[in-house]
Amino acid sequence: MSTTPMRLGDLLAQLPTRTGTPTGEQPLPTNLSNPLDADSSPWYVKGLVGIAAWIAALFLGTFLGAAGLIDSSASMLILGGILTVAAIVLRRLTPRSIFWGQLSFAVVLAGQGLLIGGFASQNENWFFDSATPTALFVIALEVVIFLLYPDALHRMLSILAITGAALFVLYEQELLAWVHGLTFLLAVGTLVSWQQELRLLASRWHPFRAPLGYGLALSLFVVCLISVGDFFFWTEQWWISAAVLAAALLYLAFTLLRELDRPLVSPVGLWAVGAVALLLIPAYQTPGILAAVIVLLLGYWRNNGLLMGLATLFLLFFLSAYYYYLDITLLNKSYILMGTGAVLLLLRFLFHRVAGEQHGDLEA
Amino acid sequence: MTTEFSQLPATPARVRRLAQLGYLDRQGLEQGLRLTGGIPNRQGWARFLDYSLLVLGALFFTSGLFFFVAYNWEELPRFARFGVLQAAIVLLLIITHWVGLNRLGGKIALTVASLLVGALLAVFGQEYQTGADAYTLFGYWALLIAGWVVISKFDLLWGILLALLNLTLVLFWNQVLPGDQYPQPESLFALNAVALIAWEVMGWRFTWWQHRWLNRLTALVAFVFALWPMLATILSLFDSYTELPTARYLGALLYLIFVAAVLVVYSRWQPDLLMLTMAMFSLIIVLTTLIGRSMVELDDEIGYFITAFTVILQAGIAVTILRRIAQRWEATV
Repeated sequence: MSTTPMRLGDLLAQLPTRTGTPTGEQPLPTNLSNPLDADSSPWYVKGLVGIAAWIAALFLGTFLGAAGLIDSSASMLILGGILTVAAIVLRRLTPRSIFWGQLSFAVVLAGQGLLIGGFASQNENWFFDSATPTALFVIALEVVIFLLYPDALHRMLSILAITGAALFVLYEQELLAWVHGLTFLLAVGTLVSWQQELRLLASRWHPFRAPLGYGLALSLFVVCLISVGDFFFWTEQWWISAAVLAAALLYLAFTLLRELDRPLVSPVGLWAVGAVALLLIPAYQTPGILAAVIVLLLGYWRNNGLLMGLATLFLLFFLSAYYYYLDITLLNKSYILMGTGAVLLLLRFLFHRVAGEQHGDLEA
Repeated sequence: MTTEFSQLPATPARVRRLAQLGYLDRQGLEQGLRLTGGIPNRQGWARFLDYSLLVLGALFFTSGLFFFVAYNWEELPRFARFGVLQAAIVLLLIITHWVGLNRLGGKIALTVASLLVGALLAVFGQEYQTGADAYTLFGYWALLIAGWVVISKFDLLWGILLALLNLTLVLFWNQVLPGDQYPQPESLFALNAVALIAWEVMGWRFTWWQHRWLNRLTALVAFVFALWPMLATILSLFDSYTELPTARYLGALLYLIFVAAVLVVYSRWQPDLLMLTMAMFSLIIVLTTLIGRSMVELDDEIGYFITAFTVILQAGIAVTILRRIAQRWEATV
């Protein structure tokens, strides 16, 4: 049997394109990656850009402070506004320049830092009196920058900043129960953005695909982190978030079963419901376990190693946190852990039975 | 040599890129991903769930056994304490033999058995209170499982062996030469650099070494230990503070050789953009430390501005080089 991989030319000849004409009659693109195109960079190159921009922004901010240019809240607001607008204009005027892109990234970070600092320092005891106006200001600012500053990494950071600020508002205004509403919004957002990933990728909205997908998934993890060990003493009712996430996981499971032409009421479908019900036991206190499983499944569905890696790290963290904070002896914990391991291996055994898979298919 | 575009292998990443460039619509993208394996089918999902349940099940069971040992249950007789672990190890070895090392089940069973050897040594330490140094436990653990690691055909187990050796060395230095002294980071760098070479040779020699995660993780650790003496040397060049790090010229030289080797090997013989990104990032750290520290000597606020600007410039240059390399590879393989 031939193992020659399919060539792009052969593949394209079989596919419909935007114009609807057979691909063979169309000129092929000259190349797939462009050194001036940030979208074609892998995540770690974007990460290098982001970290370098943060470092540069810190030095830039220190310079402005040391030079005496930011000696009052008004000067911080004015200078921050000027820098932010300048960075957005610079980035939009030179969308393909790596150097100017790097400079504008550092400047937009320094600019918004000054804006937020300036807004907050208008009230001397802002942290003790009320930080809500500042948090709301952060949300508004990040929404504007998300829309206007065309950079995937910064857009993802904006989503994280918005989530953090929203949590702060809920905490300070003692709207603790609303954190479950935030879990709901983020779970739906994560599901929709990854479910519709291919639609986004092939549309003119494709620059929003990665920041939305990763930003919402990471934000969901951030919200779930609050539940760990009652660290923030927020609310005891994490079962509400767990129920929301269990519903989201069931929806995802049934979507996947439908895509695989498996009936909902079938041994595999029942197995999936059973697995979700089992996950609810630890997720009752630690809903992050369900969030991580959702993101892990989305990552595999979309063939996305980075998303799977993030989900795996968070899954291990949430599972460890759950067992660490169980208020029982080490001996009983050991029994529960061994029991969980045995149940998972039993689930695997049952899965083999219901899915009808042969062991020969499962070689590493 | 550039390959003609239509002759390039069709991969999910290339299909996605075509859609991003506006060449494929949604149906085309989905169909293309299905044809290139970019969307999992039933068999793919079955394998994924199978692996996940197996790995998680084994992980839970092993950690449960470790907790059991850590509890040091006094009511459990000595014979039973050793017996439980030894029986588990024997059982896991039987499973390994039965399933075989060509399947994930066999590899996982051998990995769990290797981990339980450590638990057994810990129980030995509890029972007989030998007073041995902590590093000997990890050293013996590594030594005892080395044979299994060699036959395992499993990169994870090789990674565990390297982690144990790192731990042994760290604890050894902490005991015999506490503090930040020569040759602590240098020896840890050497250990990880040798391991990286070994991983690359095995990846080239054996088909079962399929993934590159361990190579990359090892390179990251090697970079951390190589950077340590390099940065200490840079900081020691300036004498305005009393708390001076000692110059580490051998370590600095090792760092420079390592960076050069990584840049050459992973741009020419074993294309790996992540390795090159790590090397570039370490160079940015070194140069920024050098420039930033020089600017502090100037004692002028303009130094902060110059440092910020040089960071931007270095990152711009690094990203330009990395993207050009990526484009060249994209057009050839």
